[in-house]
Amino acid sequence: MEFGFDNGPHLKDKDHTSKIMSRLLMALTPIIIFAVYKNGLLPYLEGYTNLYGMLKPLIIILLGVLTSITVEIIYFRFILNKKDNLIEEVKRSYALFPGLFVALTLPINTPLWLVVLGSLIATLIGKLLFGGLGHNIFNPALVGCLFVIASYGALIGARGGYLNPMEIDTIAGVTPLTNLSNINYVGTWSNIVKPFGSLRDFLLGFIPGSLGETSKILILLSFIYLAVTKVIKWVVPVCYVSVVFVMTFIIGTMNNIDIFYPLFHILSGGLLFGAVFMATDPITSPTTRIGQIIFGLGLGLLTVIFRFLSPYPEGVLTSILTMNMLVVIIDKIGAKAKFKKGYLNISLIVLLICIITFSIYIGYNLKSNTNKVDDRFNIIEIREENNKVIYEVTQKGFKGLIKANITIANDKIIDVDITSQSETYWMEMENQNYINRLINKQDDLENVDVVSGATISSNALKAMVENVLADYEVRK
Amino acid sequence: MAKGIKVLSNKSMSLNDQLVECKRPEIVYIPLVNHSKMDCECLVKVGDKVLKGTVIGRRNDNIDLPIHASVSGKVIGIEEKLYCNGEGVKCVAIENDFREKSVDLRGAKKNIASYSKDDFITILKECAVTGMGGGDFPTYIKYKSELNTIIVNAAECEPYITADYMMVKLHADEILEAVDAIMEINGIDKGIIAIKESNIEMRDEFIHYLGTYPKITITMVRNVYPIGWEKLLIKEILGIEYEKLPSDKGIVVNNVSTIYAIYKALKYRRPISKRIVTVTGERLQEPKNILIRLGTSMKNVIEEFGGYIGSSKIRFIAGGPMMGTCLDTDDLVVTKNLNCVLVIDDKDEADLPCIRCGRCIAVCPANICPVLIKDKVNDFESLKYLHPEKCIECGLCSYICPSKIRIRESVREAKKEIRRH
Amino acid sequence: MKKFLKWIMDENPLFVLCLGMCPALAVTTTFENGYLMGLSVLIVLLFSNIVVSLISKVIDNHIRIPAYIMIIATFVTILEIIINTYVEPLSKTLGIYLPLIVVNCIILGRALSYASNNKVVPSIIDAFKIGLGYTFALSLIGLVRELLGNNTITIMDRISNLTGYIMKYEIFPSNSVIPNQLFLSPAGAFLTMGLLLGIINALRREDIK
Repeated sequence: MEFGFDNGPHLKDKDHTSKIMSRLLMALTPIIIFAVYKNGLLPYLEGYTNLYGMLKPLIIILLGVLTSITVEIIYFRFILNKKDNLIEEVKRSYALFPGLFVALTLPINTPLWLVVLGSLIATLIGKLLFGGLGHNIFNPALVGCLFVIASYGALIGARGGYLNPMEIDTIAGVTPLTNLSNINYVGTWSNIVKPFGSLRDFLLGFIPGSLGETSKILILLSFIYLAVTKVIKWVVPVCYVSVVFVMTFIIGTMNNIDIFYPLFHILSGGLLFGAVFMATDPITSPTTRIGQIIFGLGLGLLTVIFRFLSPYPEGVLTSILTMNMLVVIIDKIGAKAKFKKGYLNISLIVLLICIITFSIYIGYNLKSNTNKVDDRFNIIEIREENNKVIYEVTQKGFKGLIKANITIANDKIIDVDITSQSETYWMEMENQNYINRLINKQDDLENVDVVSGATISSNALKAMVENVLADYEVRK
Repeated sequence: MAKGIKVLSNKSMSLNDQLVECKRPEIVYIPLVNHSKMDCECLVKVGDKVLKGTVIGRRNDNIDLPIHASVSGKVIGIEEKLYCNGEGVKCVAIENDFREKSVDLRGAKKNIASYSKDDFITILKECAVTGMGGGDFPTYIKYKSELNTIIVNAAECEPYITADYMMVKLHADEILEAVDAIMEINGIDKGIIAIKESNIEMRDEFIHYLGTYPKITITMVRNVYPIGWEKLLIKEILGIEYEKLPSDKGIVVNNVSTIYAIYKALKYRRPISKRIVTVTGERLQEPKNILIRLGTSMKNVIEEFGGYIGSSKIRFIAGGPMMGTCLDTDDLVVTKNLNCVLVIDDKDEADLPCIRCGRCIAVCPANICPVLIKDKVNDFESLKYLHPEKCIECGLCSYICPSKIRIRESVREAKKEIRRH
Repeated sequence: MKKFLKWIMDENPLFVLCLGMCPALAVTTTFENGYLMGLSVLIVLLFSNIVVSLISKVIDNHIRIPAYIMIIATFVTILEIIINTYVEPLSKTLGIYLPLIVVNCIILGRALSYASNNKVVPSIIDAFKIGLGYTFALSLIGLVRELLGNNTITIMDRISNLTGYIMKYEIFPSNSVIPNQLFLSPAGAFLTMGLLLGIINALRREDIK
C-alpha cells in the first residue's frame, strides 16, 4: 500500500476561488444585459441609431474581454515562456476581469481602438507587470480607465462623452454630476434632478453614465447576493456609501437643500458601481476587518473631497486608486489593532474628525460662493437713457459667451435682446419662448422650468437675468 | 475572537456499540518521550525483567515524570520507532510474557476524596498522568495553583474521533466520582462538564449518574471546531478571558479521558496501560474504537482488523484530520496521547495564487492574521507585531482558504523564525 | 556598434544607477531638449572630472564635497553664460534645470567615486562613458514622449539660430493619429521612464546570462 503525504489539514472546505469568480460573473450579468438594452436596444427601437449602434455596447464589452485574454496569452507565451499548460495558466489568472471592468467603466462613446488600448494597459501595466493575479497593488481596470481618460478625455468628450445616441438628442450633453458642477454644486430639485427625470429614473438607470454604472437597483441586488455568498468584502461598500451620504447630507443641510441631495449623490455617477465592484476587488483591498472599515471611510472622504473641491465632476476612480496605494499601511494598522485597541480608536477618531471638518468646510465654502456674484457673468456697460437702465452683459453658456442687452424700466426687466450667442441648442429655447417666460416670471425665477434639450443654455440665461436683477438691486 | 466553524463530523463511521480489544501484542515499544522532551533517561538495560507499571524511564529536567512499562516481560533492546509527531524516537522494547503481573502497590485510599492536596499531586506525578486529548501535558502542573472551577472537556470537536464518547459510555460513573474527588481535594466548588450540543447520548449517560453529585453541572456547547480549545471553551462557558494560563483565573480544564486516568491513579495508584483509540477512515475495512495496549505497533492492529481497502494512495494520519500528523508508514507506536488513527484517500490539491479574501483572518480563533504572516515569513521586525506564536495550529486557515493554500505551514515557519531570535 | 551600446549601457546613470532622474523627467518633452541636456551634462562632467582628478590629492578630506561643488559650479556657470549668449531659446526651455546641473548626483557622484581616485586620461574616458550614456537615455525618453505625445520629432529647433536649420518633423498626420497628451505631462514622464527602465534592464539581464 502506497502512502501519500501532506502537511496541512486533511479536510478542506468546499468553496473554491473559481466558484467565487463565477459568482461574481453571475452578479455582473444582469448589469451587462441592462447596459446593452438601455444603450443599444432602446435607442434602436426609438429610432435614434442604426443596427451598428444597437450592437455597439455588446461589441465594446466583447472587445474589452477579448483584448485582455489575448494580452495575457501573449504575455504568458512569449514573455514568460510558459509553453506547456498555457491555457491552464491563463484560466488560473482569471484574465477576463480587467477587460470586462474597463469596458463597463469607460464612457460609451469611446472609440473602439481606445477600448482596446485601455484594456491592454489595464491587463499589462495594471496586473501582469506587478506579478500577475494576487500581486497587483492597484485595481487594474481603474489603471486602464485612468490612462484612457487622462490621455484622450477631450476626444471622448467631443464624440459625446457618457451619453448614448438617444440621450444626446433629448438631454443635451451632460451627465448629472457634470451638470451639478456647472451650477456650482448647489441648487434646487429643478436644476439638479429634474433635467434627468425623477429619482426613480436614477434608481432604475435611465440616466447618462457609463455602461455599468447606471442601473442602481441592479447593483444593489447584486450587492446583496454577493454579500450573502461572501464573494466580496461587504464592509467596504457599506462604510463607503454611508460616509458619502453623511457628508453630502451635512453639505446639503448647510445650504438648505432637502434630503434628495445625499440621495442624488449616491444614485449618480459611478459611486455604487465603484463601491460594490471596484473597491471590493479582493486583491487590492485590506484583509483585516478593521482595515476594511478604515478603507471604506477613507474612500468616502476622498470621493466627496474630489467631487466638490477638484475640477473633475467625478471622484470615485481617483479615490479608489489613492486608497489602493495605502492598503499596505492600512493592513498593518488592522493587524496591530487586533492586540492593541489604541490603533483602532486613534485611526477612527482621526477619520471622523476629517470627515466632519471637510463636510463643514465644503458646505460653508459653497454657501459663501452662492452669495458671491456668479463669476461666469460679466457686465460690460451700464447705460441710462430715458428713465431706463440698459445693461450690456455677457454670461458663459454651453459653448461660449451669450451677449445680451437687458433693459430695465420701473424696476422691472422689460426686454432681453440677445446680441450674440453660439449655443448649439438655441432653437429649442426660441421654440419654447423661453425668454418671454423669464421676463413674465422675473419675480419667481426659481420656478421657471429649464428647457429640456438645452439645459445649460437655459440655466445660463436664467442666471444672467438673476445676476442683472441682483446688481440692479444693489445699485439702487 | 472568531466564533468557530462548523465542519463535517464523519463520526458515525466509528460509532459501534461494543468496544473491542485488540490481540495482546508480543512486543511493546515504550517511547522515552514526554510532551516536549524527546530523549528521557532510560533506567533499564537489556535483559532486565519488568512488571506492569515498573518505572523504565524518567523525564528529569524541571518536570519530574516517570515512564512506565505497560506489560510484564523482559527488556530486549532499545529500538527507534515512529512516534505520533512523525519523528523517530528511541523506545524500550519489552517482550511480553503474557502473565500480566503488576507491581505490588499499596497505599491507595478507599475514599478517593480524602487525599490531601499534596498527596494528590504526588500521586498524579507517580502515575505519570498526562493529557490524553493529544496534548501530553503533565497534569499535576495544572493543579499546583489555587483553583475555583474545573471544566471537563468532553466536547471532542475534531471530526472522525469518538474515543472520548466511548470512554463516557463505559465509565461515566467513575468519571463523575473522580471529578467529585478532585473538587473536594482541591477545594473547587464549581464543576462543569462540556458536551457538544448534538451529542445528546453522552449527556444522557452522565445524567444517569449525576444525581449523586449536586455540585457538577453539564453545559452544552456549540457544535463548532475548535470549541475544544481551552481558551475558546472557557470563553464560551464562563465568558472569562485569560492571558497565559487558565490557572491564572483559577480554572482548570481536563480532557475526559485524562479524568479517567486520574481515577485509576487515585483509586488503585496505577498508571494506565491501555487506551481507547478511534481507528477510522474511508480506506479501512473495519473502522471502530479499539482498546489498545500502550506500546503496540499500529501495523499489527490494522492487520488484525481487516487492513486497508482500495489500491490507490492512502494517507495515514496520527490524530484527527485537522491537527493530526501525516506519516509515511503504519509502524506507529500507540502512546497515551494518541486518540485517533485516520486512513483516508490521498487527494492532490494544487494551490492557486492568494486572492487576499481575508477569510483566514475572519476565522482564526487565536485572533492573528495568517495571510499577513505568510507575506512576512522571514521578516522578524514585522513578525513582532503579527504574533505568530499565538497560533494553536488548529488548521482552520488552511481549511477555509478558497485557493487551497497551505497557510498553516507558513505560520509554523514564522513560529520557527521567532524562536530563532 | 553593439560594443558601443554595451559600453554606455553598462553603467548607464539613468537606467542602471538611477541618478539624475529629476532633469530627465522635467526637460525631456522633446527629443532635442533631451539630447541637448545630455550634452550639457557631458561637457560639465568632462571638465570637472579633469580638474578633480588633477587636484584631488591636494584637497583635504574634510572639505572634499564643498570643494568639488565649487569646481562643478564654476563650469556650470561658464556653460550657462555661453548658452545664454549664443543660444537663448535653449536656456529658456531648459529653464532652471541648467543651473541645477550643479547638484546633479551624477557629476558629484562620479567626482567622488571615480575622478578623485584615478588619473586624468581614465577620468576623461569615464566622463564620456557616463555623459554619452546619459545623453542616450535622455534622448530616448524625449523621443518616446514627443512621438507619442505630440506626433513630431524635433531634431534642431532651439539651436536654430546657431546652425541655421529647423528640423521639426510631423510623423503621423494629426487628423488620423491623435496625439496622447498624457505623455507630455509629468505623469507620462514617470510612466515612460518606468517602462523603459524595466525593458532595458530586462534586456540587460538576458545579455548578462
